[in-house]
Amino acid sequence: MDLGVLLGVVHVTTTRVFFATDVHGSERCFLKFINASKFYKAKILILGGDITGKMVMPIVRKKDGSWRSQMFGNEMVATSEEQTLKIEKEIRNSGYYPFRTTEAEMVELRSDKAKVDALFTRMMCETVTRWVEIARQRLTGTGAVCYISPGNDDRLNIDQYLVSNEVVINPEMKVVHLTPRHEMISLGYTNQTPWHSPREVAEEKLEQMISSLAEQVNDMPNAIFNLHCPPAHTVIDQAPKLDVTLKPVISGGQIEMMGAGSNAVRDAIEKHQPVLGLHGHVHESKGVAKIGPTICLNPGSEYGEGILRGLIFELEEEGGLRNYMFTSG
Amino acid sequence: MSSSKESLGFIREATGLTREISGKTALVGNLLSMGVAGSFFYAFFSSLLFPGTNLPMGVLFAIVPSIVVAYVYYVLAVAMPRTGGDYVWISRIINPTTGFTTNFMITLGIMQAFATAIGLSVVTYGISPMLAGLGILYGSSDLVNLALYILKPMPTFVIILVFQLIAVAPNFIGTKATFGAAWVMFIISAAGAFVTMFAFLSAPQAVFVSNFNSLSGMNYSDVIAKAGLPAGFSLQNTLYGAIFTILSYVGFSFSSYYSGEIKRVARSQLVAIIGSVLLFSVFIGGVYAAAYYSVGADFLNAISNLAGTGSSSYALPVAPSLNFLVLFATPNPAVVVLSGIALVAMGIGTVMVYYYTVVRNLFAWSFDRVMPSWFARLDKRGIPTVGIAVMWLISVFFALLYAFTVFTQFLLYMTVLFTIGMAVACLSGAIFPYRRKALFESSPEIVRKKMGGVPLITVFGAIGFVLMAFLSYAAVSPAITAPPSGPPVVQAIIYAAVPLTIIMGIVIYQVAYHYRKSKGIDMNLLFQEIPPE
Repeated sequence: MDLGVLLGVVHVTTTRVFFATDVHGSERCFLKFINASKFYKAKILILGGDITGKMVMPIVRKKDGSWRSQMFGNEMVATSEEQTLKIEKEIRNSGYYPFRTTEAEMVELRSDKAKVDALFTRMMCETVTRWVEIARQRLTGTGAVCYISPGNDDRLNIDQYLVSNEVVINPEMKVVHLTPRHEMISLGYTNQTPWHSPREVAEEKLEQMISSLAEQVNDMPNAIFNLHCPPAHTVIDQAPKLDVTLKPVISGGQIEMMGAGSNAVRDAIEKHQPVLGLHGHVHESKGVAKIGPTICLNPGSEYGEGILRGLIFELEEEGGLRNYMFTSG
Repeated sequence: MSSSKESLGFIREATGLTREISGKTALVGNLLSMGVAGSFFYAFFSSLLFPGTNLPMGVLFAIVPSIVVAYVYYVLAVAMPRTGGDYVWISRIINPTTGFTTNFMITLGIMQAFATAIGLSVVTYGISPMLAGLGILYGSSDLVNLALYILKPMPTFVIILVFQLIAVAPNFIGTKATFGAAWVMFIISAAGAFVTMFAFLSAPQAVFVSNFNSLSGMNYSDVIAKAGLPAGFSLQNTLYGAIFTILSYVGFSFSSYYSGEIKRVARSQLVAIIGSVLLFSVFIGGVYAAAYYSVGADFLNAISNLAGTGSSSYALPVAPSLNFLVLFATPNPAVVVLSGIALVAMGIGTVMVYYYTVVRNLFAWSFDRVMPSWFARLDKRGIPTVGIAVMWLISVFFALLYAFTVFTQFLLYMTVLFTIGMAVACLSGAIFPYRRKALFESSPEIVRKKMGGVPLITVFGAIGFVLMAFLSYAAVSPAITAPPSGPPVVQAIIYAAVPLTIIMGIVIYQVAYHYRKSKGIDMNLLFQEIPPE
């Protein structure tokens, strides 16, 4: 068929899809993700899980009326609303949540974990709401559709704000049709991690969750498993081994790596043999793994640097996967 | 929930937030990856090719480009901590063709080192001088003859094959086994290097002269007279001689490939990378200074000249590398053996890591669709058996070239591939603030430091580019190094090796590009930045 395509004899109709994952609150990466539709000519965008940030960055009002914040060892000072908005944008682009506050409130927050926790939840929900609206505004009328699902690091509170509209769909724990021939199941839950994240469960439970989704698929050889956790014992689940203090273990002068993937995910792929597995969760493990006929892909993540790592792939109209390519936008 | 010490912010418990590796750990890792024992034969090369070179001063000259290049690598690693190195940096900042071609060149340079690293470190300058030294000490002509015998083509080839198998074996077991074994080799090598240094320091020149005159069958003063070289040092030749010392510094950047998720100033990485360059300079300078103290600079230049020019006045069985000359400083078989083992261990450890590095590069090319996907195929244990086996077969080919042809001259020319690679990496560092403005502006303060309004990475990158470009020229210029010998067709091939390698890289990338384009994928999109607005 490739020769026929090369000779221009055979015409193959495909749907181009762009997949990225683990943007962790980086607004720069999210905006790039939405623009990827135009940039890569992709009709479908899929954002795998872990969309919320890990840090709240206060911008503190000082007695002299200025606003001050500190990031990467650099103090940022704003004396006007325009400058303050610029600082907020810089903070958002790095994956953090800007928060305007006072010195008195800072003292309170430093001694009240519950208040900080509530602040995080509020920031996450507000950002998700804003992102969904940005996606709707930029994609409406373009013909592109965007799937955004949560991952293990995303609190359950955001689900009510990750609402589907005409161009943004939350596929979490559902079966959706990317094309008439390609169904996709999505699951942001993972196996257990040292960080006790909001959506992590035991392997047995993960297996049940995946099975209940897989049972609903009609055309498994053309199905796509959008499972945030990568399959175990592959190149795409290798994460640094950590000691009890969460410091990477050095062995033979190198950081020792270990598999952080899920056996349940691997077993499900081996059993059901979908055409494609889309994964994230382990940022360092960009790569390809083949489990039987299934190609499993993890584009990795460099959200902290504002670089959108992703994956373009093409689904053939008659079924199957035509091609794929990693990107680094 | 915690607050960050380096900012006002609040961090929540989230996947991937780890503590940073300590600077001390990273420093030790870098140091041990830089082969001090290589100085044993670099001393001979430099003294032969650049008579009048001052080896310890050459180290001072070597520090400058090494620190410059180390700084560029450090800054790029802080700006892009999880990219896996210069292949992606160059692809992102310049373009994918340049990124792949540079990485291809360096990979090919590493592949030829599968044979030359073992050939030189294990056979020619490791086991052979060790046997010859023991032969002299014990008055055993059998040992001396064995030392000469293993330098013949077939024995050299067989020994290289054996040690290539030793080096590749841990790779078939896994990453931990590979680096664990390499680590042991590097520790042994460093220990042997220190033993050699202290052996020289324990023998003032009068002791060396007396032992040399009684054991070698030659006369110390006659050696200097017969070589007829001017006494003292030449500044120009010291500069050129530093080329080999600079090559020893490869390995300083191992710690640049990992950084934490919450960006910190990464001072520990700065300590590790810059610190390892400085400390290594002290060690290697110490070896050279110790050798000069005992052996004498004029004598080292003279005996290297006599050996390298094939003079009939040279009566020693093997070349005067430092691990051979040490027997005249301290006629102790344990010192002779440990000194030889230092080089053998360095060769094995280096090639162990080289097999791993090349296979990892193949993976990266395969993921980026430049090479076929079977390059990244794993067996049931998750080991890239096919890739490693292919690399071993290629290394056997280079072993044949090394043992049976004059292509050992490739060494100097193929090292140009490394220096060109570093030059391109420095160039990408220099233009980084302008080509990737947003990334630069959002990087930690250490990346954005400026001098007179110009980013420091631009200043260092530009200097590094000029320095490494000059070194690349110097390494192959007939006015500076000896031109290749052999029939004209051999000379032509050696001269053409470097430009051919560059052309090969460009052609491979373009073939892959057009093939993927026919399948509907534009590889130019690989590293193009998507505008966020």
